[in-house]
Amino acid sequence: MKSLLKMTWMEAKLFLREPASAFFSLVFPLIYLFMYGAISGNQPTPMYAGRSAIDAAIPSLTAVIISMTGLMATTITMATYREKGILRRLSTTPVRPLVVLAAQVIVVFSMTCLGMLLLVAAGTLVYHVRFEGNAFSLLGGFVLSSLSFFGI
Amino acid sequence: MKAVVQVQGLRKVYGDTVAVEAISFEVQPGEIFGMVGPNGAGKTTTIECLEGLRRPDSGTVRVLGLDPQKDGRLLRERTGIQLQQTNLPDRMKVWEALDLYASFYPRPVEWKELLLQLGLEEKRNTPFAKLSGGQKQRLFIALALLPDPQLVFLDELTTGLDPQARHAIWDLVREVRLKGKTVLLTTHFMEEAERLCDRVAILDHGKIVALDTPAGLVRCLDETERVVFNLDGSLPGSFEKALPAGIRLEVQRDRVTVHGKNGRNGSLTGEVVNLLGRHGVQFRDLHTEQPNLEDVFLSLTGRALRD
Repeated sequence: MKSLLKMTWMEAKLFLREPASAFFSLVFPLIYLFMYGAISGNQPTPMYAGRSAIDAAIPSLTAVIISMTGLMATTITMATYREKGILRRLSTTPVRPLVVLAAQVIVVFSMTCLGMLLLVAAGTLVYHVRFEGNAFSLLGGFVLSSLSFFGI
Repeated sequence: MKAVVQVQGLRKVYGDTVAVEAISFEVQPGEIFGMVGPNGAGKTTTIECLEGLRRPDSGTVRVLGLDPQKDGRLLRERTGIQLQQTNLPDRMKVWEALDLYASFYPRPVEWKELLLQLGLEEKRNTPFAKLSGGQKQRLFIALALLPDPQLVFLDELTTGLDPQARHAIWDLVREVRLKGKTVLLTTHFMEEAERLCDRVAILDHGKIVALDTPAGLVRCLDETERVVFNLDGSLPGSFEKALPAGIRLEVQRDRVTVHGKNGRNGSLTGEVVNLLGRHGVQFRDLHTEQPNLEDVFLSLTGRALRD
């Protein structure tokens, strides 16, 4: 348990120190949001059935974060760890492989959540995005799709 | 005392290649045991079978009385392992690596003390990728010492290091032994094996071809002493004729090497100097070369290049 905590904390720090992964899951969606806002404005349009372009952009950007982090961060980290012999070094210690994987998933999942929260917060503050629909089904969908991307 | 490592008839095959064939040896507590051999002789395969990273095809292996295949986890808590090719994440800092790895063991030593001992205190906040080769190697030794192990495996510890770093690491290994730990290492450097190891096993083609103390190995070798000097002018033919039987002369331009054993009439060196004086040969830079572990190694494994 102690090693899982340490491992997760370490992986979180490494994630944030890696410019590419931190950028794509935390910063990039925000840049995209603001660019989108600057181009199409925040007026309700008939194309989105009376919602603004931003209202429509946030859900799709959330999907982008999920796939970016889920598909790229975990797999790339694990592949580099294997290639560079980092996993091999871990295999010389009593730590269980499951701990290594679990730490990865926890970190990437938290980063995905953080990315989405930042995005929604920015949307609400800057563009007064309205929330429609059921919060629980949204949460369920978010967790499921994140996990399915980790599965890959 | 019971042997720390017992290997009996170890055999490992990769496809068609026999990597290790019928290797048997024991390592006693508190000793520094070295394995040397050309590339592909089976050193790393042997050490990996002991560490439990590879499954032997046949033979029995006991490390600290445990079977590495069955009690791997328990064994990994009690042994320190330094691998030949290994890394840490580039952006992991020195102290973070030690702190993280310490959390894997039930009774780790205080990593802050290891930092001091291994001279890494100044580098505690340096990311792994920014360390020099010697510093990385010292960090790996620190990681291997973290579990307070009874046995430490060091696989090609000093390959690719400069002489300063190499000597510093030798001192470290000696200190490890002073703490009562047993060390099993592999190396390419005969000098390293000669200076560091209590006993050395020479491996070739997956077999142990010799196993003894470094001095014992040199003694077994029927290699002769060498007297080397440079000529001023030429060597008269009478000098060569005057040499006693069993002494061989090798001349390369003005450099002369005399191969022979200490004879009945005193030392080889004395005899050669006497003869040179008697024949009025002008020479300089005369010195003798004793056979060393490298000569033993080359005579046992041949001089042909290995891939």
